[in-house]
Amino acid sequence: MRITMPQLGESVVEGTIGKWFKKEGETVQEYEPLLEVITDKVSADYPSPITGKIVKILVPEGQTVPVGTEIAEVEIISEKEPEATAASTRSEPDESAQQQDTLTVHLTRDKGKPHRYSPAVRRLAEEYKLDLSKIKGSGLGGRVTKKDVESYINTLESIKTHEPEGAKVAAYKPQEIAPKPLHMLPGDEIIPLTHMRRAIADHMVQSVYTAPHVTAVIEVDMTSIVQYRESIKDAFQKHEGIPITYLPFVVSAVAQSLREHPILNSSWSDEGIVLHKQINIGIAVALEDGLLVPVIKQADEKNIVGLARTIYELSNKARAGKLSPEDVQGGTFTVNNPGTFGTIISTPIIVQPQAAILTMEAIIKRPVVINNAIAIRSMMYMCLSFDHRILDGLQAARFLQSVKKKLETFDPDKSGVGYR
Amino acid sequence: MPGHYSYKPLKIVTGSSPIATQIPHAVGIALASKIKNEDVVTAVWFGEAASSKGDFHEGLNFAGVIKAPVIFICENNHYAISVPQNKQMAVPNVADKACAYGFPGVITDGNDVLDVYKAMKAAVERARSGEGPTLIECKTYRIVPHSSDDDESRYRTKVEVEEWKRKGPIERLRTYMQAQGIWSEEFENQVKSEALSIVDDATRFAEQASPPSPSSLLRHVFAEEAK
Amino acid sequence: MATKTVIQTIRDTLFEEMERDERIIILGEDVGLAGGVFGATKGLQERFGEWRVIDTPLAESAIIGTAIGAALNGLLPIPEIQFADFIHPAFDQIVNEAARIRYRSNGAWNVQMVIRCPWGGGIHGALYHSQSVEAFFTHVPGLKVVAPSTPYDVAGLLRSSIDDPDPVLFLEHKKTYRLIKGEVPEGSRFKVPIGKAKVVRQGSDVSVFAYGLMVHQSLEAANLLSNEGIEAEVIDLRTLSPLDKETILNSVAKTGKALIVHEDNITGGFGAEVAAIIASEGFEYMDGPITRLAGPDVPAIPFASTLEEAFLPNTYKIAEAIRNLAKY
Repeated sequence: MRITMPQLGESVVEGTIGKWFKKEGETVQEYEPLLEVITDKVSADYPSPITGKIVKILVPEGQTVPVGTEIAEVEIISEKEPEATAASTRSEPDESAQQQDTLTVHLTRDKGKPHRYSPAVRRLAEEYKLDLSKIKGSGLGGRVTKKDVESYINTLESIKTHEPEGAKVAAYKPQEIAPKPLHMLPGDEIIPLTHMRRAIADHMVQSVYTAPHVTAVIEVDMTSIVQYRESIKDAFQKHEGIPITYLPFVVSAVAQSLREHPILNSSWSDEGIVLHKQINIGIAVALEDGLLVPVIKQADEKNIVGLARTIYELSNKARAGKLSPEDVQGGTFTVNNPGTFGTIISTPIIVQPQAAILTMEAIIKRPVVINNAIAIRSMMYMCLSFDHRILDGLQAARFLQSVKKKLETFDPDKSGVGYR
Repeated sequence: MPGHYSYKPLKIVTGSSPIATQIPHAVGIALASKIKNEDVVTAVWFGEAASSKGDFHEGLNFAGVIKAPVIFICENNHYAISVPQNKQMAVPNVADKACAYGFPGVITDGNDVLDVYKAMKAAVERARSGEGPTLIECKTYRIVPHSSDDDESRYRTKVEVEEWKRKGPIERLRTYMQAQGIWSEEFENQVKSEALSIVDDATRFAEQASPPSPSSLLRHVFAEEAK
Repeated sequence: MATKTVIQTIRDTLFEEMERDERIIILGEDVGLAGGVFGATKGLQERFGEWRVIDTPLAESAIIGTAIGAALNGLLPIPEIQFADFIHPAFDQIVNEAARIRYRSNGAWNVQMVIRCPWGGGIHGALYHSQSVEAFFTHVPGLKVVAPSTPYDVAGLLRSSIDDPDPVLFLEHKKTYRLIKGEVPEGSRFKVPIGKAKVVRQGSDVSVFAYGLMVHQSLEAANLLSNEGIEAEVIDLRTLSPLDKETILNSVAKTGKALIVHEDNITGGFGAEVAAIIASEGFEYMDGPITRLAGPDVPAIPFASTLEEAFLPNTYKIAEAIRNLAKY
């Protein structure tokens, strides 16, 4: 067995080997002095706990070691069984001698009733004018804790600020719906989820579950814009160094229409519909494995050239993976352009916490009736998905009409293109 | 409680009610004098019941060990409220206890000014010369009740009280001075009127003093900031 | 800077102070020749002589009473009570005399002295070498009570106590004597003010108030819980009387949850006072019941290791209490 450095004094934590009274190979009797231990408080002879032969001395004279360090190895040579040493000092926790702890009294007595609000919770609720019954409790027994209220307030704050966070939406986990079990068939393969995929998935689920989506579609005659663009596009590219697409024209019309129909530029909150002053339009940029939505800040203050340039820069940054947090935050409305891929109608999903999203679809030459005659015009559908909590079909339709009108009555001289 | 007086300019130390607590204080004051090498002798007074307390034993014991320049004066007035001396201790004299502490115990007639003076003088010289403490017992008698609340008829006789009244110290001093030819009626009147006027002035001052303001209750818990 | 144990710090600080101020005297049992039963006054009598480091008879009331007298006559005594368990015979001198002299003499007399005494359990001291006595003395106006737990605080608070013109009870947790080491600046008479607690670990979930050895156990518990995502704020009270209410209330305003830890028996222990202050002055901040973790109401800490362990709060018990409170 191993002999350890004993603790000689009440507050002693180490000891020095003064002198070994036995050498390796010698025998020692139980209780016979085995070594002298020196501490700064006291020196004493330490008796051997057993009768045995010193096999090895592990710590030499003069060395200081902490209490409990092994100092010698002794082979037991006693015939009788060594007496069972007292049980180790660390015993099982004894329920009856439970530490007196005033909280356990509380915990056993009332298991944190859900609608009992602590002073801290009530004070916060009063200060921020909150309805506590709307907050889910994560504390004991479903109690609403101070932290629950604080994170609720943070969510509200992020809605209330003029730059609501578009891309940073917390993952929403609908607990009421259990996911269906997945059946794998032979030959199936699993593509691991990237962060972006997960983020998009979480966002889409949360958006659909939060806002009741309705999509309204309107038809726009883009002929004059098409003709105008055709006429300037080469010179524009040469002069401005960037291409001119249809997107800046639509964004410009949307931005001006949002000025006239602010309900489309808002967010839902329990305290009321927040009308945003700034008009920050996000444009969806498609990537190979996902999409990003950089934001054109204060889009209503830019002309066509300015919009074209901003769109160009943001798209490049997005494709190069170089967007900054500011580039994707603060959006109040989103415009998507799936038309470039050829679709004619979509039912887009709103970017939370915005009120609506607009897609511009493919521009296709179609026969239409004008003044009771058939004409060939460049037609484009626009699809507006809106949050039916915030607005109804009437406002949606009026907004669409407004955008349509601006696009159809586009006059380069009057519309302030900005192109020289 | 008339016992809580003190007057720092005259080095009269503050006292309290728990009996005998002042004895170790006196030893400490004397110890400090000794350490500082100052020519100061400390004197402490207590009743015979104080000699029953632990602080008496602890204080005198320590004083004897360090030869503190202190004089312990026991006014043995025979009663601790209602408890007579023979219920307070098993020895006839408080002074007998001094031998346990290694210094002299001196018995004096507490009603004899000159006897007490002689003993005190010797004790002061002893202390001054570094020889250490002395315990002086002044045998006297409490001729009034312990307090206005004390019904003394419950524990002593009028006869006993009257007997001791006749042995009062002032009368005895007068008799002695008369015998020595150093007393006159004029002298007595002068002394009396002087004493009376000091006491009357003090009484008047106390009676006319306005009661302390309630805010003064909170002062002097700890040292106050100098204003 | 030097790394010292608590006991080394006490000894060195006493040495420096006695060199600096000749009014300082030390008196107590075994303080002189033996240098104190823990070595707190080792070598001091050799340096300063037997009239400044005095071996007294075994008489606690006289030790304190004499110290009071010496203070009344211009010295600055630092009497030692060998174990807090033996302070009771001196209770009268401390409470009725030392704490009251200034008040009863209308400021004419004062008692400038520091009563040093080792306290606390965890070293198999059993019934009469493990007691906590702070509850009796924090109750007394006119007396200050400090209980530092680190070498730095010991040095700083000892100096502040010496400088304080009123009596201070200086409680030294005996298990920290050799167990706790720390950095102590040398060559500077730095002080730690009486009446200021210290936030030794910041956190936002639970405030833990402790003193003495329990500060170190609480820090260990807090580190354990960090792995579980619970961040406890640990405050070393350092001074028990006068209590640093501001630090206490600032902390509960942040966390809303308070746990008070001490070794002393729970009923009427000092934690009750801290709890009462939080309850009355911090009510609006509270997000959970104010909780005390303390020794059970039994007359002594027994000698048997299993029983001593069952009595004392320790890292794991503290962690469990913090965990439960955080969950509330």
